[in-house]
Amino acid sequence: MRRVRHEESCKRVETMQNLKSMGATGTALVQGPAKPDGYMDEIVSIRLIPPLPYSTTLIPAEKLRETIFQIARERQGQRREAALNGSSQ
Amino acid sequence: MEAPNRQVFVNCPYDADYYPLLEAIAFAVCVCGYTPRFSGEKIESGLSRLAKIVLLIDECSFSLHDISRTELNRNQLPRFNMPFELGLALGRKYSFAAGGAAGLLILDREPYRYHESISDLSGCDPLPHFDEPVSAMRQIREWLPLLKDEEEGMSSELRLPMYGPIRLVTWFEQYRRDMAETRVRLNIKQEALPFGDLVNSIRVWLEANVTVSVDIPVSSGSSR
Repeated sequence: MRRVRHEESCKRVETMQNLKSMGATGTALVQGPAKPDGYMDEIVSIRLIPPLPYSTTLIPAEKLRETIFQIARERQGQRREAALNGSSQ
Repeated sequence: MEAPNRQVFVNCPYDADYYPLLEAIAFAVCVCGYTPRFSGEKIESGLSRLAKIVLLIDECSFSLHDISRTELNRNQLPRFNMPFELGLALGRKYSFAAGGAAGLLILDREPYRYHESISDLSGCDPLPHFDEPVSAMRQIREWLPLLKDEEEGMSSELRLPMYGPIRLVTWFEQYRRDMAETRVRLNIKQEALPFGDLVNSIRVWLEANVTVSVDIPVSSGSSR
């Protein structure tokens, strides 16, 4: 794990916040707070989820995302279960 | 000339009979990493329908035109909106002053049908979709340039794995099943979603089921 100065890390968080303000959502991988020596563990990466192209819609974006992702997760779970059942036979 | 953007003006009918094709076209455009745009996508009384169409043609580097519904109505008059909008887009494509357009695709129901109605299109080779959503998707997949990894950078486009036409069809079928379930869970009665919802649904579905997870590395700073 690389370590960077606290101020540098703040700049990166700021970059991500700017991206978020443009409509992107995402997460940064940050390991722990700044240490007494002024260094902290580096933000490894920023994972972005692109904003949806249309904002005025019948279905609220969050609800749409939640439902479609839930259906995808359920299907993955069913597949995993079927694979386990298949391998146990 | 500016670099082409990834927006595709979709010029096609918006009636319920056409919805399966519209859905397939929007899906294929999104899978290729582009955003479909429609003339009816937003309500704006300050602009005439024609003004909205001209603006859209101007904003989109690519345009797709389905002239398959150019046929006589019950008053024996032809439906001419699609060929008319195609003419506007062709005008822009060949306009050097406007900077031209990056790409244009014409779809029709059958090969060479246009010979009898718009023979000026000879040599433009409209491609047939035979009223089949899968055929329309394959034509679009062949037409739109696939995005290259190096172009991705920090753009907001989706990043998808390599895929062929069979995979595209498999995804589309799964998307349709999932959307039927989504409509049930969200208590949405209508099958034909408004344009914005249709495109957003496709984008979210691709995110949930197909998109390769991308971690964008931050540039290295001072480290010890």
